[in-house]
Amino acid sequence: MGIFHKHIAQYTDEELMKEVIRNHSSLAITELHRRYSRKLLGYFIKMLQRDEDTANDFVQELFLRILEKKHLYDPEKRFYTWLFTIASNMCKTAYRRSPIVALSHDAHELQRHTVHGDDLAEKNRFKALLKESLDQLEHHHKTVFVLRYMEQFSLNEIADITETSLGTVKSRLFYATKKMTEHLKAFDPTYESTFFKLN
Amino acid sequence: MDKHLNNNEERLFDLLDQKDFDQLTAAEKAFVETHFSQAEYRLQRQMISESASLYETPSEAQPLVIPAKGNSFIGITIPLYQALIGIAATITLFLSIWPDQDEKTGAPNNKPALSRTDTIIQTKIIRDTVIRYKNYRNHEHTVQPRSASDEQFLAAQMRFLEANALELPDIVEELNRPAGNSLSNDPTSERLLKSTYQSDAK
Repeated sequence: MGIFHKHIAQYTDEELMKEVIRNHSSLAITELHRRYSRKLLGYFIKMLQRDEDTANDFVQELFLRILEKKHLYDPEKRFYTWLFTIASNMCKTAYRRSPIVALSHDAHELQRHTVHGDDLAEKNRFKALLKESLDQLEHHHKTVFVLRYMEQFSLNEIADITETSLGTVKSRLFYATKKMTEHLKAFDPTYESTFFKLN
Repeated sequence: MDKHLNNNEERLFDLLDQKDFDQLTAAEKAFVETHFSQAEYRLQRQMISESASLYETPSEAQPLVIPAKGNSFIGITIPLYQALIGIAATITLFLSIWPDQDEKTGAPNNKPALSRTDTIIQTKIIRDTVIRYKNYRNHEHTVQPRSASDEQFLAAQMRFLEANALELPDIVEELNRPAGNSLSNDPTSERLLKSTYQSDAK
């Protein structure tokens, strides 16, 4: 392609996106897909609790949506943030259409299958409970938790993605963590909630 | 709707978000322990750190399939708001060009007829069609009276025609009567002959 004067990998996301807007460049959109499809795939799996094939369909749909809505992209903003804004909205829509029901594992049942003192088993049990507690969160709490502690976005970026204020993001994270901790009490019998004595 | 955090909650959140219990300063530990037990703080930090590796990294995503261009109208897409503006502009233009279309199509008008003028003075007569007849005179064939006696003869003929003008409708009626009479019994023929003899006698 003559429009690219240097190797395509050297272009920033924003430059590639400009190329998509100007020339509907399939080369540019394919490069963006190469860069972010895997990360988005992981995000959809976490958020929607779906299998990899369904998550792949979401990734495909997301990039087609970028092509359709390319005029809505603000070149002053980071492409990566805009990408996750669309992904987050898609998850919200999917959640409204068919609310996700968390698969409940009885904590005591999990404990029964665990050999006490086995570190690996303990760790697995903790992870299972953590997943369960994450899936039981309300959608907006889950979104901020996944973006912050799984996708490693900054608080300001999460505010941009979720189109809320920084204060709202902090508040949602705070209460999300609180709810999850309550659920994880079963993991530690000695746990005694002294959560927010001031409240 | 989540309420906004107060100062203490926000400070707690910042510490939980960034530091393990062992990384806290003595003042921070003292602050944390007024709200949480040490075990509770550690559990929350463990939850946050374990979350990063909670899900396995997925394998590569399926390659992107871009549909062939040209499915849309003339190969381009426009935003919905632009399409709506275009439709609205077209309708406005249409109405401005044909404002009285309802009247022309004979749509019923429920408004009562009110005259806004009491007197109409016609100052100009406009005729849409003027037919003008032009008289051509053929000078070569014009018969000029040759003498005074000819002029007198013509004047006498005119007077005779004027005098008998009242009888002409009767003649027309007779002419329109169905044929079938003999010449001697036909009153029209009789009158014509009579008038001819009279004019000859004069």
